[in-house]
Amino acid sequence: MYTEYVSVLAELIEEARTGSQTAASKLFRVCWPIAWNAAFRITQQRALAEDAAQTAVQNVFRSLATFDETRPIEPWVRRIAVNASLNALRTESKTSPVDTSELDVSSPLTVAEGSPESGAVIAAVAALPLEQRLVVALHYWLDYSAAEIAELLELPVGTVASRVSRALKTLRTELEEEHVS
Amino acid sequence: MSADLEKLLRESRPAVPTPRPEATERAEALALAELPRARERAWRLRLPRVTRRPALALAAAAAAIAIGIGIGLAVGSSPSSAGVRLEGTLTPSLGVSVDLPAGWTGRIYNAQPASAPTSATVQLADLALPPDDDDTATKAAQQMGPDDVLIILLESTGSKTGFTYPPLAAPLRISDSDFLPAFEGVSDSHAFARRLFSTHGRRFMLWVQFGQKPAPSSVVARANRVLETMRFTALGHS
Repeated sequence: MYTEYVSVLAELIEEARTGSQTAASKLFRVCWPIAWNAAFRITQQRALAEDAAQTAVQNVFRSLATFDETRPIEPWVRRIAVNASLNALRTESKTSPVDTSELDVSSPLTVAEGSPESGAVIAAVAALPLEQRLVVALHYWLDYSAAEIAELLELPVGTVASRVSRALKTLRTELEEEHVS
Repeated sequence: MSADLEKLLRESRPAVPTPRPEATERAEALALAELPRARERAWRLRLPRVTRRPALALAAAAAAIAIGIGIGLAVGSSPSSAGVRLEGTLTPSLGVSVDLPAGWTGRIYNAQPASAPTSATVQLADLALPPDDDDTATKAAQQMGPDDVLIILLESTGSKTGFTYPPLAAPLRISDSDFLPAFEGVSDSHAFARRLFSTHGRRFMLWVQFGQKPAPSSVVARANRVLETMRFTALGHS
């Protein structure tokens, strides 16, 4: 089944490369949710996520010529979306320091999946410094390994591990105070 | 406790809202706007521009047609390496040959750089192929009259799994089932047929464009008479 899925996608990609709008539209419908999910999980802000996801799918289509369509498309799109999201956050933090009050943590948009404590966990993550919030989102919500995060963020693996460790320490304190953890 | 916290974190993935429709629309527009560039880049990576081929190709084709023989045009391992030469009906370096009737022009060339696997590209038409065209013969397609035929054969050399390339069991030809209702880049007034096939361990995509839609059966038959003369050999064994 999965092989068939990859095969269909590969055909769509090749058709899109020849300029087929129909194939490109179908391909977009595959890529967009991947990009959007990754962008939102990282940025936690609708406007920023939209910008990042849009940039991501634009980059995906721009790079279609070089994509090896025999490989799964999801990790590729997600990685592009993660990079676009990181760039968006970096740009955002340069123009206006990240203010957790700007995050959508308390809005209905970020209703947590999972346990009843999840809302408090998300809020606590959102209150982390950006560098720690990023590694938490990438590791725990997008399932990247420390090595992959290190590559994405262009950091030594040790630095990533140390950021995760610091984030966990902060979260533990915050959540214990709220009797969550 | 650390393990518990990590478990809690994993279970607390923020629910992702549905993107706003206008954001989705804009994203799709931005993505699709990249298509021409992606297409151009794909062609550039896979198939160097035809413009590198010397005008001698057409001169040689015209000469062959003028003397009423079938022709085959061959180049070396890259379009710019050896120029075009006339070699009867065979193009052993690329493993593709075709006989062209009077009034047709054609070119067969390697669309890949010397460092890449050979990828034969064939352009055949019953009009004069413009000397400065691209690999999909865009200019030639624009110059087609209602009764004209344009045949493009592209060899796929990548490790593709997306398309199925059924073995070519009989002489190459197109049938009704090969016609597509529309194809990107093909004029709405043109009929277009596409066929994928493999032979001698090689994979090919055949595009046949007709100057009117639907294509008259007599013109399809004319295209098929040329296609049936196409012969293939395995690369490296020709």
